Formats: sequence, structure tokens, C-alpha cells
Amino acid sequence: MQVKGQSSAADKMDVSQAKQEHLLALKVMRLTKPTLFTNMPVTCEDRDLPGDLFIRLMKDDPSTVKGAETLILGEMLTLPQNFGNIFLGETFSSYISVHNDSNQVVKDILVKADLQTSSQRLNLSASNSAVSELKPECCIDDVIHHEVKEIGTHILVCAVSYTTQTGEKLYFRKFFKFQVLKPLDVKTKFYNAETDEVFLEAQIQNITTSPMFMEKVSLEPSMMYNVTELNNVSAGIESESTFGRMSYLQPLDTRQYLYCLKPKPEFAEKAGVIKGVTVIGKLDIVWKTNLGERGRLQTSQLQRMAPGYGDVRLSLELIPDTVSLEEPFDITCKITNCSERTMDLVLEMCNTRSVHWCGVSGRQLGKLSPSASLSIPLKLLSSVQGLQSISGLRLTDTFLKRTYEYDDIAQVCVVCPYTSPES
Amino acid sequence: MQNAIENAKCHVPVTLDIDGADETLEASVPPQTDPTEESIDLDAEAFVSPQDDSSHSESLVDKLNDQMMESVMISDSPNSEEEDVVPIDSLLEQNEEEEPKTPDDADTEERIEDVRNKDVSAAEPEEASGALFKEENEGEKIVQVDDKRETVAPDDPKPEAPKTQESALEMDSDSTPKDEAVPVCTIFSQGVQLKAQALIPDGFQPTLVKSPSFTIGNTETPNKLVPQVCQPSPSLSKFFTDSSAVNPASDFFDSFTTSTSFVSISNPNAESPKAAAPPESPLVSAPTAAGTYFTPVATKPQVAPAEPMNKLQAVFPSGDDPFGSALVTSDLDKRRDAWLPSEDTRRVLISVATQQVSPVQIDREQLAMPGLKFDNLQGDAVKDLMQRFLGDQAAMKRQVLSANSVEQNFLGLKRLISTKNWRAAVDLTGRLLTAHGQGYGKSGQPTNHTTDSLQLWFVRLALLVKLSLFQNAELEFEPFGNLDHPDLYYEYYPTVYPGRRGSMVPFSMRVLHAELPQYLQKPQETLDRLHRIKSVCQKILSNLQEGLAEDGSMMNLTQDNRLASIQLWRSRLSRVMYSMANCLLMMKDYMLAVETYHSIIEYEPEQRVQLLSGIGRIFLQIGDIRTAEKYFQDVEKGCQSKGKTCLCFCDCDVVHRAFVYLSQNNYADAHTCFSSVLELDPKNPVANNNAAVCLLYLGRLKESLGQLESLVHKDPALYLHESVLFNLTTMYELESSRSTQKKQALLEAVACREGDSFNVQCLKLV
Repeated sequence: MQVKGQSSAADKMDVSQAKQEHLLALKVMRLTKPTLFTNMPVTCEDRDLPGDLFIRLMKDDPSTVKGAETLILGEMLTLPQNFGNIFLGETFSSYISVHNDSNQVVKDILVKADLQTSSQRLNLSASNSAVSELKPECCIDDVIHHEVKEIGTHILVCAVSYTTQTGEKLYFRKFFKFQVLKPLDVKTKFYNAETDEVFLEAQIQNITTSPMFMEKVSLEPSMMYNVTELNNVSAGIESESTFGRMSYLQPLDTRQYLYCLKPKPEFAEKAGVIKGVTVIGKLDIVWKTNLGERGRLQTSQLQRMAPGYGDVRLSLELIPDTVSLEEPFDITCKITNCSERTMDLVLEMCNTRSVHWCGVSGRQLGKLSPSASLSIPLKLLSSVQGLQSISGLRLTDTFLKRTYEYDDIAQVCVVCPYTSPES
Repeated sequence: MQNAIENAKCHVPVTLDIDGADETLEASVPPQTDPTEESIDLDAEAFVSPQDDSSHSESLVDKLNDQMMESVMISDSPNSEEEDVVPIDSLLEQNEEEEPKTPDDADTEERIEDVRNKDVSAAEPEEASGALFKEENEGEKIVQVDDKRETVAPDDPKPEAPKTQESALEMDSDSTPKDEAVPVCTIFSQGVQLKAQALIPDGFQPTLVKSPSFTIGNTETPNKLVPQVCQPSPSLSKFFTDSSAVNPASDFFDSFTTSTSFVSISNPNAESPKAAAPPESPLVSAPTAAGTYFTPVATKPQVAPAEPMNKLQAVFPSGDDPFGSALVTSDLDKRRDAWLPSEDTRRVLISVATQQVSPVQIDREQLAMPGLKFDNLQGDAVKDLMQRFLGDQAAMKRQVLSANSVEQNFLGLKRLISTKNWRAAVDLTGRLLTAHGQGYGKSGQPTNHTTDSLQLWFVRLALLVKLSLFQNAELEFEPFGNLDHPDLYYEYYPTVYPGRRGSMVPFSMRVLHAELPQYLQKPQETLDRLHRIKSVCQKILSNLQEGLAEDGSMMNLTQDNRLASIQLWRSRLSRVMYSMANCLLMMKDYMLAVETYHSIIEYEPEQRVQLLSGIGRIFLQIGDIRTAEKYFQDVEKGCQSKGKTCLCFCDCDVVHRAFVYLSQNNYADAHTCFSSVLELDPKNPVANNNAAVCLLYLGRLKESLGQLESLVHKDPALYLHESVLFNLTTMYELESSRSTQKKQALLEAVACREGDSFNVQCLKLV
């Protein structure tokens, strides 16, 4: 803090000295998009006291819409009225004007505009060559653009060097500091389906102060996955967005996007199971605000921890959805060795209150090497109506004497076949 | 984890910045050029001071690391590579400055610095409000955009911010799979502050002008003596003597000379110039007037059927009464004044009409008792500015009409309005209302309303709104309540307005009353009021369509009359819808606004083109260029089917194309389009201004400036408009350090042409 105080004191002195010294003046203005002028209609009817005065004044006003003067949004463009906010992913544009305020010709003018971020320094000037001379009342203009890629403090450093008529070389710099803010808040959630599909739910919240038109929100999958976007309801040829006709987000509004990711067959097959942390992909977001001011962001790579299946994974390949009461039905289980060692497995089937297994319990399944799998058809029946959970499978690895329990593997609907046709 | 916390710390200033930015947005228009502006040096050399590397150096390194982390972790722009961090000295120091002060460094010197910082913040609020970076001083220094904000907001929400941070970064670095939600980037704990400031249309803040003797709390003036003028129901003759006796100024406020002249002379517009109103001559019109007038009363459903007819007739002067026969309730008046009072008000009005209750007995709570809330002169801001910048002598030359220099009647008032001397016009309405006994401090005292007094109020309040003096308008509107007091209806004054029915409050005043709250950040109130008006309009329309009179009474209207009335009420309904759509647009509820504008097309088919084009512009404003283009195409199709009869339709598609180019950042083509409009219509102010704006974005400041400047000087009538002048002064500021002189030249141009209602803020001189 002391540092700052000193410098500001020193600075004041500089100012008083510098005031007379420089022949050139540097002005910088941020060029956000212009805005449309809105007027304020006050009308009366022709039999009111002012008669047609109010409407005549409005008709004469150049900013009103001719023929529809009560419409507040006119066509007149006005220049930005304040610096505004700048958000990550937007383009920072600025007008840099160097004006010769003096009454002498100034030579060899070099204007340099750099942007200093927390991590780097970028040159934004269109040209780095010097202007040979600048007459009084003339100016050098430059419009710079920079797509903002970092959050936090940015400093625009403008340096001007020139030579006076007397041959004196002069130089000055100006710093303009601004903060880059975050425009969006993105939250993601993964759901693992029983199959190898993964569903990604992404909540995108507009944390700026102005409405945002979401031009594009897409998931760029990593090489392992194919993606299906689930944000449209297709009705005939035209598919309609699940967000309705208006695709803009008001400040603080959140929108939820849904994607379905399927591992490409080569990856699904090769690995047997996808284990550990996998890279799913990244979200690519393009938005627009006032008069097409554009912004674009990508999230960092979204990562997902594949669900842990323990050493042995038991999944169902085939199961009916509806079965008859007390009638045996078939299911097919797939048993995959997810561990790093070979297993020797024994399958036990325990009856529950409602589920009764058919066949021999405690049968040997034989050796299963790592990543290998085998399919076993099983038969069972239910003695209770309604939605029933299939439970009671036990796998024991005889090498390690370890038992794995599989309950609530799936559900079937059990109906009574005798009553249904009559009713 | 450690990193995450540090990073969070590092982000605290960001959160604060948001606060700060909003504050400045909401603040009133800051001074644009402050000669004593302070800037703070961030030059590297200045920081090489012995104190520098003491207590701060350690945290400095941390912070640097934070910066590095941040650039990698947080979602970044697609094209950015993740480079190595290049720490630069100046940045180090600058970061240090940003950091809120550490509590252990409590030496006095530091406190002094704090104070200085505050000074800085107080002295130069420009950064957030002026697009132009304000950096007047030469040499090497930096304008502190954010430091001051930190000092401005001492009660920062630091404890919350780090938490969100932690979770965010945790996820980023190594996302734990069991976490349900993966917050990829949660940087800010967003406050409520994002909402508010939406509704100021142009960034200009109105200032409250009030009487020096006026205090806000004391709105209700206790009324001890009832002055004679204000007796609620005097007989006609009594009324005249009273008013002339008590109001010495009544010579210029002559509402009640005779009933006919009252309509035709004092408010010339109330007279029907073209429509089929009965002739004003009492002799000719008397029989018809009596006829049309008695039927409704007799069959009026509101009147309890038990009411004996003779009693009813007694209320109103019979045909042989000289006054009664002289009074004409034209169809036009009936149509225009129709309104549906609330149930309570209607009951009071019926009991007055049937003489069950004398108006004297009516509870004062139920009456509208307006009075001026401020009586000081409004002055002339242009002249004040001239005095300040150009000296007294120049200011003396400024000639504008004042309330004194015109006739003290409606004609003078209209002259002031048409010459854009609205401030003087407000003064004059004040005088005229004072003469009517509704002057300063009369609020809360019983009074008589007349057609003219309400018209005066309407004009006064409308002008206050036009002048953006919204608080004043609200204060003076307040005694009128919901514009539904019984004494605001003609039926309340059976002796003064025998036979006349309906609302004394002009419809436009109801719309104005409804529109007002939105300018005071109460848009919901505006919508509520507008919906109320809308439902009355719809009820009246449905009455008319069912063959009833406007108010639902069983009255036979001639076909012409009915059609004219339907037309009037449809146009009123569309006016209300316009207000709604405009209000929704200001609330940024674009969806409803677009829908409402759409539904207006049905009522105003001739405005279809403008409305569709306006909807297109709304979509451009949102950023939805594709939909905007769709609307623009619709407009063109509409134009083509009409066979391009009008020039303005011809160039509308060029203008549309220009706007689309503009939103694609293609300023060159946008400029070409606007210029091509100018070839057809060289005086088109919109195209001229917009072409100049495009030039600026193309880096052609001098050309742009030249174009606007020549326009303003060549055709001041069209271009001395605040939007154009605002653009021009902004460019002056960008162009040279001598912008003030150029702005003063503009002020002189304004002074010769514009009235006292000119909004001087667009000159950005103060």
C-alpha cells in the first residue's frame, strides 16, 4: 500500500510537469457495439388540451419510428456510453487515437498498443511502422481487437514516441486497466446407464447482467465417444428446441442441456470395461449479446470417473420386462472379470421372498482371465405379483475365497396371466 | 487444495469488482471531465522502493502462482494455448495493490494511503461510466479501474467466495467421480445486485426539482377551513360568484363563462373540428340533446329500478331550464369520456345522481384533492450552462419564451409546448392551476374539478414526464389515486355538468399515470395499471359490439356513432398495448414484448411494417440475428406485396441489411448500406447518423466527425437531437483534448434553436 501511495504522489508531480510537454494527445475508447436509441413516447388525443402538439413533436423527432411513433425502440445508433463489462471469450475492441494538439508538425510517430495480462503480453497494434509526420489537428487512428482469453486484470499499455521539430525525441505511455469477468457458470453431472452409455447434464447459467442469446452449445466428445444431443424435440422435419422459441438467457437464468455419450465400439470392446477417469469431451459455447456482440468459450476437458464395478462385474444382457406369475422365465447374465488376475468362479443362487431360482446352485463357472467375460443363461420364477427385484446371486472366487454379492440387479413386472384377459 | 484456496483468495477482488461496477452503473451521471483527476502510477521504476520487498513479497509469489493456475484451470477460450506464464514485474506490483490490505500492517502511513484511495474513488468515477478511458494526464500512469472499487465496498462477501472457489477448482484439477455435480467454473457468488438498474432508458438521471418549502413527509396538508370556492356542490350561480370573488386570477382561467364557450373556447381541441358533433348553437341542439340525454338515464341499468322516475328527472335540469338546454352533450364527448368506474365509485355516483347523498356529505377520503407539490420556477438549463461556460454576456443573448412572455391561458400554454419550452409550460400550468385553487400546498383540500383543470393537470404531468422529472410527476399524481375518485366523474357535478356522464380524466392521463412507475423502477406497477385500463377498454368494446352503449347501458347508438366509438376504443386499446409492450421491452422481457407487439398488428394494420421491423431490432438487441433476419424478410415480403408504393418501404430493406451487417461486425458493408439510403433520401437523419457511427468503428474518426458536424450545422432542426449530439460529443472527446471548446460551440448552436426543455446532459459539458 505504501508503494502505491508514493507512486501516486510522484505521479501528481509528473502530471504538472508533463502537461505542457507533450505535443500529442492519446485517447482510447472501448468500442462495444452501439446501442439503439429508445425514446419516451408521451401521447395525447386530438381533443385533449395539447391537441396534435405532442404527436407533432414526436413526428418531428428524428429518433422516432415514422408511422409508429409510440414504438420506443428506434433505429438511431448511439455510441457506447460507458466502458461496460468485458467477459471472458468476448472480443475487446478499442479505438486508439493520437491527436496532434500542438501547432507544429511532429515526426516519426510510433504508436504501440500492448495488452498485458496476468500471463502474457500481446501486441495489438495493426502496424508497427512509424508514421513519418503528423500535421497539427491531425490524428493517427487505430482500432484494435483482441479476443479475451484470460480472467482478471488486463492492462492496455499504449506507448507513443515521436520527434519534435527541434529534433527532440519524446516518449510517453499510458496504462488502461480493466477486469475481465466470467460470463457463464457451468455445472455438469454424469449419469451412467446400465449399458455403457453416459448421460451428461450441463447447467449453463448466465452470470452477466444482460440477456444472452445462446447461439451454440455443443459437446465436442473425446475420441472415445460418440455424442447425441438431446436438446431438440423432433416434430416432423422441423426439430424444435426444448427451450422453446426464445433461445436467450436472462441474467442469472440457468439452462440445462443433455447429451448422451456412447463409447465407440472399438474402445468398448478393447477395454472390456472403461476404467477409472476418462475424458468425455468439452462443451463449446457461443453466445451473442447486444447487436451481435459475440463471445465464445470452451470448458476444460470434462472428466468422468467410470463407475467402479469391483473385481467382477455382473450385468444383464437379456431380461423380459413382464413375466407371468409362477412361470419360469430366462435371463442372461454377463460376468466380466475386471480385476488384474485370473479368477475361478462359483455361482450360487439364493432364493428371496419372491424370486425363486431354477437349476443347480453352486456350479463351477471355470477360470476367467482378466477382462474376459462369459454369458450364463439362468432360469427363475416369481411367486409374488408386482414389480419384483431380482436378487440373490453370489459369485465366489475360489482362489481368494472372496464372495461377491449381486442384489437388485434388475426388476421385472410380474402379472397374473389368468385374470388379465378377462378384465 | 492449497492451490484452490489461494486461487479463491485471488478471486475475491473479482467479486468485489462486480459490486463496484454495478454501483457505478446505478450512480448518477458522473462528471465527465474532472480537471483534478488523479491517476496512479504503475510504472515499474516507481515500485523499486525499499519497502517493497518486506512483508508483501511472500504473498506476492503466491499470488503469482494463483494467476498462473487460473489461466490454465478455468475454462478458456478455444483458441488460447496454454502458454507458460510470463510474470512481469509491473504486474506483480499491481496484483499486490489489488489485494485487500492485510490487517497486521496497521501503521499510520498505510491508513493515509487508504484515505487517498478513497479520495481517488470519489474524485473520478469515470472509468465505469465513460466509454472513453479517461486519461487526461500525460506521462506514465495508470487509471485505477478497480482499486477504488475495493475501497468503496468494505463489507465484501469474502467468506463466501472462497468456498465456491474451492469446489470449483477441486473439480477442475482432479474431478472426483462420486461428486454429483461437477461445477466446472463457479467463480462468483452472484448477488442480487445484477437485477435492478435495468430501466433507465438513456443513462440520464433525472433530478428532483422541488419547492424549497416542500417537505416530503408532509404531503397531506391538514385542512382546517373549507374555503368557499371549494364547496363541493355549489349551485351554478353560487359557483360563479364564489370563484370570481376568491380567485383574483380567474380572469385568465375562465372555465365557466358559459357552458358552450367553455367547451369551444378555452379548450379548442375539445371542440370537434371534423366529426359529426351537433352544432354548438344551443337553440338548434337543445331538442336533440335533451332527447339523447334522457334516454340513457331512464334506462340506465345501474340505477336501481325502484328509483322513481320523477326523482331522476329532478336531478337534472329539465328542458325549460335555460342552462340545461344550453348544455350539449355531444356524442363525441360521450364516446370520449366513457369509462367504467369501480363498484364503490359507481355507487357514490348513483346516490349523487339520485340526490340520496349531497356531495357535501361524501367522505373526503373518497375525493381527489390535488395541489401543486412544488412551485419554484423550472429555469433554463441551457442558459445556466451558457453562463457557466460562455459567460454572462453570451447567456444574456439566449432568448426563450417564459411563462411570463405568453398569454396566460391555453393558447400561451400551447405556444410554450410547441416551441419546446416545456419547463416554462410547467410553470404556466402551475399558475393556471393555482388560479383554480389547486395551487401549491392545496393538496388535501376539497376542490372542484372541471374538464379544464384535469386537462391542465394532464398537460403538466405529461410535460414533467417528458422532462424526465418522474419523481415530481409521481408526487403530484399521488392525490389522484387510481383516477377513480367519484369527483373525477361528470355525474358528481349534476348542476355544473347537467347530463354529462363519464370520466373527466382524459384517457391519455390514465395511460400516463400507468406508464409513470416504470420510469421509477416499478415496472410491475405499470403493467398492473395498464392491464386495468386494458380490461376496461375491452369491456367497453364488448359492450359496443353487443349493441349497448360504452358503459353497458341500453342506449341506442346510431350505426355511425357505434362504429366511430368502436374505432376510438380500438385505437385506445392499441395505445395501451403499445405501452405494455414498451414496458416489457424496458424490463427486458423480450418474449412477452415481442408477443405484445405482434398482437398490436391486428389493431394497427397500417403499422405492420414498422412493428415487424421493430421486432426484428429487438432480436438484434438480444443477439438472435437469425430470427431478426426472418422478421426483416417478412417485412420485405409485405412491402413487395404492397407493390412498393412508398419510398420509406423501399429503403427499409436496405436499412435492415445494414443492421444485419452491423451485427456481423461488418461495419464496412453496413456503412455502404446506410450511405445508399442517403442517395435516395439525403436528409434521412437515421441513415446519416448511423453511417457516421459505422465510420467510427472503421477507424475513420475524422470523417465520421466531419459528417455529423456538417449535418448539425446545416440542418440543426433535424440533428440537434440528443442522440446525435451525444454521438458527436463522444467523438469530440475521443478526438482531441480540446473537446470542451467544441462542445461549447454546440451549446451555442443549441442556444439559438432549442427551448428550455433541451436535455443538456447530452452535451457532456458537466
